[in-house]
Amino acid sequence: MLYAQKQMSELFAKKLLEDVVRMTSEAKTSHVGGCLSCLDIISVLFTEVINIDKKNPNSKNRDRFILSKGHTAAIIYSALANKGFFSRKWLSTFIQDGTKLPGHIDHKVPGVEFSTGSLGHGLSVGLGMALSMRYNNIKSNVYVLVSDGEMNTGSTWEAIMFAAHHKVDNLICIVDKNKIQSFGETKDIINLDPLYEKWETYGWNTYDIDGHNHSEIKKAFIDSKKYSKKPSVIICNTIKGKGIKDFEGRLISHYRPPSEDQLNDILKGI
Amino acid sequence: MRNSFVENLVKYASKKKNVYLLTGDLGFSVLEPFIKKNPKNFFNMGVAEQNMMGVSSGLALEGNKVFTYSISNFATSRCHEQIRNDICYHDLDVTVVAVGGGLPYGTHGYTHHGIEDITITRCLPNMTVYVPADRLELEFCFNKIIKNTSPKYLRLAKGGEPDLYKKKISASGNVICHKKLSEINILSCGSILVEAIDCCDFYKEKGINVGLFSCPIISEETKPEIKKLLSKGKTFITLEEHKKIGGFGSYVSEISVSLEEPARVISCGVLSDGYDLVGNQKYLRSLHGIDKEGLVKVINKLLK
Repeated sequence: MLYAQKQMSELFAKKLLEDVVRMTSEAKTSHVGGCLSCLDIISVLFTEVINIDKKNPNSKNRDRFILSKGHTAAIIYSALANKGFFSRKWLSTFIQDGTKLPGHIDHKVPGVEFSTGSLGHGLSVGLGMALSMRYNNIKSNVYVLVSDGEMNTGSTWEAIMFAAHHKVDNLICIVDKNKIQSFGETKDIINLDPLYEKWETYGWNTYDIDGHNHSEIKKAFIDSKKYSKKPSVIICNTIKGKGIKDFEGRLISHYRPPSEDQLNDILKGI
Repeated sequence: MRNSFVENLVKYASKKKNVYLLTGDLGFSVLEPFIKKNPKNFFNMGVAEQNMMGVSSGLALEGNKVFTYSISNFATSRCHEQIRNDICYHDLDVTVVAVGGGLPYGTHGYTHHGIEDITITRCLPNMTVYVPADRLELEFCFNKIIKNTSPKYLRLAKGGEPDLYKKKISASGNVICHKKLSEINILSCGSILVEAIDCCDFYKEKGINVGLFSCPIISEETKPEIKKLLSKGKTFITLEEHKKIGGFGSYVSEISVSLEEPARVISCGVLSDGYDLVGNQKYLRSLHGIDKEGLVKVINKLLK
């Protein structure tokens, strides 16, 4: 990766980190852990990969992005605000009474394609978009970010099977494999592994990468865009709560808001 | 009615490029005319109704008009959250088409009794529920469906329902008058209308007029028409092949209680304690008291 590009996604990552820790800390709300696990993915995606334009948000040639793990809305709100889709001032209203920014991602927010919050919906919707785009010869891609816990849902597997059967190669799924779901570790609840082999067996072009390494993330996106005749999945191995020492790899990061001290530590680090 | 739906759809799709039909692996010997003419706009989604609703949402978001097809409970209960969150919350142009609404699959057992579907669809935001009684009411509804870009639930019976109209329906609103307003009136919803017509004819021979109105569209838009009828100080019997809880009778009652002087509304529908009775449609209508004879019993009591 060129130095300038690396700097772009990494600078963006710092903005996202500051925003999501501040938003969840000040609002005293949950789900910071899942925001931080996908932070580097979102950073690369929004700076290096997807083609979206705040001046023309409904352009038919735009890439579509769906956050299927809708509980980590804060990071997408931050990404969109930093891309100029709405004022950064909105971020301080996150989940407040009468806010435009609810705790689960909402399509009424400028730049958001689809509302989710109940897991297992996003991949099917992205699949429908991708089918229509293919039919209409639109050369853009649909990106859907799912969580590993979300892969418990039967609907996600319904979409996986259908997308492979119909060779929907403009659909790219990203799995934020942070290994922790609501009530414990994924391996103890419904073990997903070997996840790479499962996706591959189901007929997807599959990547397995370090979800915090910007070079690896970008390379996987570039390679997946070139691939034809199969949908692609990028399994990103991540750490839940990454960046807040006491939260890293811990279930508590799903629930506990960052304290004022934790927020200050993050701000100092940045 | 299934075949009439497909005829209407084929005709409509012949003028449009953006009409999609998705099925949950059902529709053998019904959907083929559409598939033959529009192979690229048809997907058999397999036995995967949740994905079907999600995919239909994605297609609709891209500007398409989407129809999904399945049996009543599979089309609604199994994937209710996808209909709620994906289709209705986003106010998408998707028509959930269900066959087997009511008791046409009565011999197949409770899993195939479509008797709660109106309750769980009509409560959703932006949703309009269409319950035609025969192929001409279906055409009447379909002409409204193609103009409606919000979520829709189209509840079909099965096939072979008798024609209840002699000519194309020309009603200006959503409520269709069969017999003018009287002291006692039946408000009917769906293919059960045939029983109401028989009942009205029975009383006509006796020189007693019973009013009859068919209400194939359950929506906010229909409410003023129902309200106007209910305001006349008469008695109304609601008739539906659906549980009384939350269905068409409840819809009419909700309108009635909003009046300063609520109307007398008597609800006839599938009984809660007989929901699992098995038998053919005629037999089950009789057990639930929603056939002609059942209606006659109710009206005779009122006439005493």
